[in-house]
Amino acid sequence: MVAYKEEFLNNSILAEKAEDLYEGNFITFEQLQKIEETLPKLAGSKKIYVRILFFFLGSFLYSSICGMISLLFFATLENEMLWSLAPFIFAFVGIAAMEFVIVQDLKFFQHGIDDAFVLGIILNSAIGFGMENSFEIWIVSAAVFAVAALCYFRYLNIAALIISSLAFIATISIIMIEHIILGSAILPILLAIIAAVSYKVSSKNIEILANPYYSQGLFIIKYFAAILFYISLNYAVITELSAVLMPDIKVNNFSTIMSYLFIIFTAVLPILYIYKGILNKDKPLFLIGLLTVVASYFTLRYYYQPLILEVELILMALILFTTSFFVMKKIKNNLQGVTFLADRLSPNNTAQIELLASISQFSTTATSTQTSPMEFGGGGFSGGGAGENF
Amino acid sequence: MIDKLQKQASEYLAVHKLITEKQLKQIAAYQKLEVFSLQTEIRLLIYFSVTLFCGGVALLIANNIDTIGHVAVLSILLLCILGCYYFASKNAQKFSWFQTIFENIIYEYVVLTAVILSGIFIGYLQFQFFVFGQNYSIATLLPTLVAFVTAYYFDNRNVLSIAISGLIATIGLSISPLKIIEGAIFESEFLSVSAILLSILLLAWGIYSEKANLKSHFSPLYYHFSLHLMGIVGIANMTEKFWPLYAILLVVYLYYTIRISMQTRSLALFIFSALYAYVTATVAFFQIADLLKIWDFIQSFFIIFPVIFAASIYMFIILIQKFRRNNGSI
Repeated sequence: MVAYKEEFLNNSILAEKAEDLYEGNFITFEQLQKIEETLPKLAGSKKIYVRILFFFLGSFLYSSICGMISLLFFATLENEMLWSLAPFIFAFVGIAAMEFVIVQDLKFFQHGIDDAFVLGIILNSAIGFGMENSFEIWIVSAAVFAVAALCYFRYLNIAALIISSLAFIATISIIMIEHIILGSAILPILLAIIAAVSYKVSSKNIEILANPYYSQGLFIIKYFAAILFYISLNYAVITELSAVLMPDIKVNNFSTIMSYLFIIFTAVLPILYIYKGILNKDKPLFLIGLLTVVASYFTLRYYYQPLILEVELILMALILFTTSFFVMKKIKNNLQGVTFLADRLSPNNTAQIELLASISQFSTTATSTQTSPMEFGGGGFSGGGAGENF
Repeated sequence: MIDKLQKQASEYLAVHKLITEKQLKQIAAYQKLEVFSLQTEIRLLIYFSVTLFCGGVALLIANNIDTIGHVAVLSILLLCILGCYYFASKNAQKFSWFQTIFENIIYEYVVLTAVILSGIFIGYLQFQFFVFGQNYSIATLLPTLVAFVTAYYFDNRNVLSIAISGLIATIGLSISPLKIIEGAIFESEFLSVSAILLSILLLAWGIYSEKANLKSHFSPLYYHFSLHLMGIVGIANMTEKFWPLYAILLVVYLYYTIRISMQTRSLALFIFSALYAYVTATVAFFQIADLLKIWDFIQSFFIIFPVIFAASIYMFIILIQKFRRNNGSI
């Protein structure tokens, strides 16, 4: 199923892990160089800005190829039938380019250019299916789901996997809301069940997975499911959406009981995520937990505002500051487990995030001039790319 | 959750003699510690708390400007600022031109709070009492100076980036409003020239401070600010009247930044310089085509655009590969 040769994929994983080892000062640069020379691997970059650069160049290339085809073959056509086939032709050109040039010859993997082509294939087939079916939305999203899933299994592209998951959720939601009677009433429960099942299945399979290429995808599905589970059971999301989708249904006893259930979920899930994140040493889950705390807080605020905004801001700041201060004090001297020391095996770039944040903040407070350097992007420190799971 | 892949990978590397047994043991021992670092998260949380606090204070002042009383607000602000500076300097290491760090990182954020609050303080003075008259540039320059001194004294990169942005804002402010009032047409021209001068100044200061060891770890920040300022202003001016001048300037400038990126082994600096050079070359090509009036001739080549893009992708790949090989950066 996978387009890339197994040997190359394995070597790529080895090289990536070796880079982590080098950044953690476990091995020397000469060793890293030797590893990269001995193991022929796929071409790609861990640095996110390199990938973005090549993504843009790849998009230009793909669209210029499509433009060339249109100029050569479609410019003089007046048959509408053929026009509606054009997106499929573009998609096939993209697939051909991926299969015969990018994967086979150039061996690009997580390089930026392969991302551009895969996204182009998905976009073109979405337009194609849309034109065929007068843009019936659930057919388009189902088509996107299918094409993106195939692209993921064939090219191991994480962006395709995320698009595919989103399209899957969209398809189910649209079908439930528009084509099934009372479908919107059970939609949140259905989504929560789907999320719970896929969380369980993916986290179980990560443990026993034989070939490691799909493990990154399983991680993505796991965290996607965690987020979906929270959103589908969030009190505000459910009440607001049901007010929009089912305006006729009056509040009755059943829904009151259910609403208590949703309130409990909104309050408990963030704590559960953070707890499980720390317990299993699962960083992304922990971060999702932190984000859901914020989301739950906003849910509370949406219905109930006892304090004026400025007092609330200052109070929150003080609570946040003292909490992090005491947590830091507690874990500062730990040499293992939960600690304040940097992890040598997954270096991060906090400094860069903060830098970006402080610049953007100041640019809004100062009168902005036309030369304010908003485009300042990632400093040139040896910070490495994003963590290996994202 | 031990990273199983990492474990397998290092075992594989050890079996194939690509890393030594001793290193494998070190890695395994480190993995056994199950390090779960919360450094990034806690730093971010503290950072957010600082921003929330400053936002809250600013809102409090803005909403109650007529009820609390100016003197009260100003004195509370001043007390907060002085308190922050007092605690920070009490815990700071002795000033040095080399990198210094706080023993407890919390003081980095105390310093940041102090700088943002002093910005609010000076802004309040100007807004309410017109301390500096109509001279808004001084009102911007003063917080900038405070930020620069603080950044160098306490060795804080966040504050330094605030200071540099403030400097750029000052230059923009001191020129444009005056020119708009006078109705000058060359208003943007003046702004461009001053931005370019500032950019060169930043670059020169970065180089100098690296050579003279004056907080040399600040240099990358100067380089990046300078590069983006110059890149954006220069390319924006490539469509204007004096574009050949800007083209020459950009070529010389980018040549220097690429050299610096090689010396400092900074891939980001290298890539952004190459990108700006690429855009400059493309715009210059179209300008020349326009000048020679050979548009029709070029239009017949539109069909080979994919080839041009493929060639530029190839060029970038080769450039990055060469950079990596020569400079030992991954």
